[in-house]
Amino acid sequence: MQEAQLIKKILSGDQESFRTLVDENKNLVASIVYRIVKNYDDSQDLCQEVFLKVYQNLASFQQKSKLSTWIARIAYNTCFNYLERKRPERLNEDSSADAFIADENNFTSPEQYLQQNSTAELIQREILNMPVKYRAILTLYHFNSMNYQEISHITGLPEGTVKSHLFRGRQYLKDKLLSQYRLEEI
Amino acid sequence: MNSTHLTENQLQEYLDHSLSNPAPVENHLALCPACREEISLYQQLYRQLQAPPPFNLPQDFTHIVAEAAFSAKKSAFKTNILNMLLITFLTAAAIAFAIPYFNFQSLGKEMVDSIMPQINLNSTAVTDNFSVSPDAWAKYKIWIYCAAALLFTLLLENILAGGKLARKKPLLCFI
Repeated sequence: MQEAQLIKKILSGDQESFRTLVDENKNLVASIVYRIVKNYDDSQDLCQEVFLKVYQNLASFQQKSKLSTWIARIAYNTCFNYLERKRPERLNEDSSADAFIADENNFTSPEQYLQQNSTAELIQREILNMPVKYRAILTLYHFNSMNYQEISHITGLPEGTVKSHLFRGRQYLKDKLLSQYRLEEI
Repeated sequence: MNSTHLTENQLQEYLDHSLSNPAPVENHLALCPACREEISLYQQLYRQLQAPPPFNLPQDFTHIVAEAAFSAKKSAFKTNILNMLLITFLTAAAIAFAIPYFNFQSLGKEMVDSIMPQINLNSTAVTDNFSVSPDAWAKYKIWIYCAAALLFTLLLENILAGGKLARKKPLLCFI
């Protein structure tokens, strides 16, 4: 079903169409919410909150972007509002993000490396250690297959900033991988 | 490009398929084991980044969300109806309260008698109950007009906003 038709049906009160919308977008929302919030228990509540907002505000969706981009933007903003309420200090990271990437202390110890039994686990763990905007952008680009323009629309960051966060985030994770392999060789 | 290694940006752009001309990078990779090792790390990373996060919503998530959304809508609808009824009642009450203070003399006795005989100021039954001195009327009429106008505006606004006002400013609606 095309987006415009789906929206029209939901707005006319078709409950089944709303269920279709949720089914089609729940993985997108779950990935964004979990990667930003990092809390398993709160993530489900936030995912529900996101879809309730989508339902309540669907009439105001002007269809200038894809529906999934609009939903992702609601998810992103809902998570940041949640973080603001819970941990305001974590959001003030524009200056600290650069320091994070350059900070040697962020590298886990050799012992910790050896305890991480797979590359997948290492990457998932390191993503969660990154500043929130880095991990959100990495998730949107790689897992949700969004382009710079869409990510810029969702995050409100300029495309250049999105690209630079993406590149530096990946470089950081690649260096972590390299460190692990070097340790394994030793 | 063979004399120096590929930069981090070049490696990532190559894997993103965003290079307008990837041939020089491919040529360099064919000759440089160090850059091949680097790009192999990036390839592993890209594969991991495409993997879903370790978080799954419950099987009945769609059902839970749909139920919550529909029940919220029903409850908002009920609230709107109640608010609108209340506002209508208050508006009617305010107008009914204000009408006896109007000077119906100027409207013509017959017309007032035929339309609203029970509140005709010339009728003793009503004037006994509602008679107000001209001074008092002049003092309070502005407030009565304001209250009636406010209630009427709220009613209209609530109707035009499709009940949004009732959700956003319920206290205002219950003035």
